[in-house]
Amino acid sequence: MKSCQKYQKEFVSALYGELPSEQRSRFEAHLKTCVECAAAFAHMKSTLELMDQRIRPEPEAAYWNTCWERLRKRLEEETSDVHVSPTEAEPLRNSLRIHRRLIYQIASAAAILLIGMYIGQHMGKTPPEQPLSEHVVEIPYHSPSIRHYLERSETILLGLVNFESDPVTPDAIDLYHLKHVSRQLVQEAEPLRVQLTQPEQQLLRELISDLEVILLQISNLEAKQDVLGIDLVKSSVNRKAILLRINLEEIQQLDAETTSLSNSVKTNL
Amino acid sequence: MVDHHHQRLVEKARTGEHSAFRELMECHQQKIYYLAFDLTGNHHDAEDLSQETFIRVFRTLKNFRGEASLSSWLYRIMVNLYIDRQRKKSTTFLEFHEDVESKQNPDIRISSTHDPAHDTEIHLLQKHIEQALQRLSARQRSVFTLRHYHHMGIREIADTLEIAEGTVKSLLFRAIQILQKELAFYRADPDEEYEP
Repeated sequence: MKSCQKYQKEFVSALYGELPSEQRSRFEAHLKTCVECAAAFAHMKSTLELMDQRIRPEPEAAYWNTCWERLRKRLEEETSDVHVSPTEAEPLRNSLRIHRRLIYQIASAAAILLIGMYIGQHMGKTPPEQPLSEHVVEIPYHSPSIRHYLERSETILLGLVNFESDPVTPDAIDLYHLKHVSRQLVQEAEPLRVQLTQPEQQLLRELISDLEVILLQISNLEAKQDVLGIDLVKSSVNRKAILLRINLEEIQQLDAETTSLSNSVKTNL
Repeated sequence: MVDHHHQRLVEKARTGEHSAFRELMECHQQKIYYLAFDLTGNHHDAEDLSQETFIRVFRTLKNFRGEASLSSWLYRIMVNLYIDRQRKKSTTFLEFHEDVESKQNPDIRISSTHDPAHDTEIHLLQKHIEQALQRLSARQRSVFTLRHYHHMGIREIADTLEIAEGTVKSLLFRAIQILQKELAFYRADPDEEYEP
């Protein structure tokens, strides 16, 4: 075990070919005898190979030709800023800013008070009660496309999660259809996520991101009964509690609809 | 020869000669932009970080003693600026969320292969790699980027960033572990997931 720790410290240098030859030979000999270290090293190596597939997009050709001009402008701006705003002027400017803000606040408060007094004196009658629906904060609805997306994803996932591999009836699951729909859903994920810009939609946004990964796994399953792949999808679904999160979203949605419906009934009454 | 030429340009730029500074910038602009892109993950921030690096160089050129190569010095300035920015960003919760959102890397354009399924896979892979890189701390990402994408040796990174070689190794090790975890779903065998 101790020797394993020693060799694990050399993983990084070995991965990047920076071990001296003698150390490298000892390292390789250890990997031949230690299955755990060999697996861990292979795992790290495959991760780096995946990172090699990263593509760095080139900027537009004009970008390089105009670099200096943009930098020169910025340098000039920064230089002129120094002349325009000497540090000595800052405290005075800040205090003026604070005073001005205070005057505005007092003036606003006085104006609100006067308007309130005027309303109290001249409009003695109790104003008619506003319709209830105007007081109620509307709970944001999911767009129909998002609802439809979640429903279809749930159907796909339920189909896979409930699938039991059975050698007697290997065609019990229509993998071709699941893969096809999953691929469509993967392509629909990004445009949907773009719609979800509100802070309260953060959880839904994360759910769609996680779904996207799982749906990609499904679309990459082998054409025939890929039992191992299906198990992998099942474990991802469980680990990320995807079905539970979809249900929670549906409950929230139902709740929003019920609230809205009861409000409209009260208003009509 | 190149070093002598650079040294002369540095001397001229120190005296405020803009043409010399321009030449220096143009010699290094590509490497600097690529490093900035690898650190930030998008064109807008990469351009901003590159410009800020050159502005910092312009201001502090008089401090450059020529002991390290000019590109190492540029790298050090950029990495320090990047780490500093990230530190400021993470101080407020709101900005952290904004950051995560903005790092969806809209700049990646994949040339079409006329196979929509394949294009989608490549696009998703790029997105997942970028998301995995975002999980790294600023220091981990800097060290990983310099080693993996800019092919600097561990010793060279340690010298450039003025940190111990052991620190570079442990930052790299941890970075690879995090990437491994984040990209675990691309592996055939999910049982060997790293536990933090």
